[in-house]
Amino acid sequence: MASRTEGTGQRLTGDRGIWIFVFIDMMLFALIFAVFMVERGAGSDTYRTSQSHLDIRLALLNTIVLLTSSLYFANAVAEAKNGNHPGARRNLTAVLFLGLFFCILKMFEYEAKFASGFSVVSDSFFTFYFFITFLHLLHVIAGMLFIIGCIRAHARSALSTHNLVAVEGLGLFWHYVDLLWIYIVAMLYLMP
Amino acid sequence: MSPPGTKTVNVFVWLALIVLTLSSFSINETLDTSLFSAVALILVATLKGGLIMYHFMAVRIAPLAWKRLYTSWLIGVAVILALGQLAAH
Repeated sequence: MASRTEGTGQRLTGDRGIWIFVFIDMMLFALIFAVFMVERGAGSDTYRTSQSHLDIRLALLNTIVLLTSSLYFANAVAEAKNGNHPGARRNLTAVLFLGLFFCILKMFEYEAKFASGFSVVSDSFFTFYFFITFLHLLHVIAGMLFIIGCIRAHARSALSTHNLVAVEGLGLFWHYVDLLWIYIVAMLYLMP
Repeated sequence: MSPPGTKTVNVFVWLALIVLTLSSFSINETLDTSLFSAVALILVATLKGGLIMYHFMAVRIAPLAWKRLYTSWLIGVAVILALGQLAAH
């Protein structure tokens, strides 16, 4: 089903299915966050020590990269709504490159951690660190694969309701990935 | 059609998110390990989450039931972080 209008001006952007999928995924991450915070409460000193080994500058750079990609995605949706396919394609391509940059920075960060002797089994903080950030990275990669499909669709076809719903739905997912990162950074990198 | 000025609003929201991001990192740099700095970080994260959710994810124009579901997640995660931080102190 395409975008739905319910009531006065209220509507779901994208397909209803993506709203359901994203909400279920949000609940899973809320559960992971809750388990992390409980464990952190039990071993707060160890967690603070391990947290001090994380690179905050990289986290800041990654946050700016993802927030900027969200801006380009929001602009891609605006261009698609206006029927400007080249504009939508340009913005989606920018999102793709920013996503790729995020992945490269993440690989660089993982490599630095491994080189310093930290791994998924170092302690429970690093188990959470690798598990949560890798799960998030998989979301980024999945989003990028869908974006490639979306760019190809915009390259070969005129504006259709299906394409608009697809780009709106994918936008919802991409912004959600950005939203998750905000909380991941606060929890893993910043919370004292 | 997308309403005129949508891209300008997007830029303003992005700027607000960048300013909030820089402020959360400066809270981390300047404040100690007190509960106050943790609360400040949680508030900033929730504010950023709200901006992303309501503007970029378009939850503001979603039907009321969806708006309530997504907003409850935002509040729920803030409560999880706050309670976890209380337990750690």
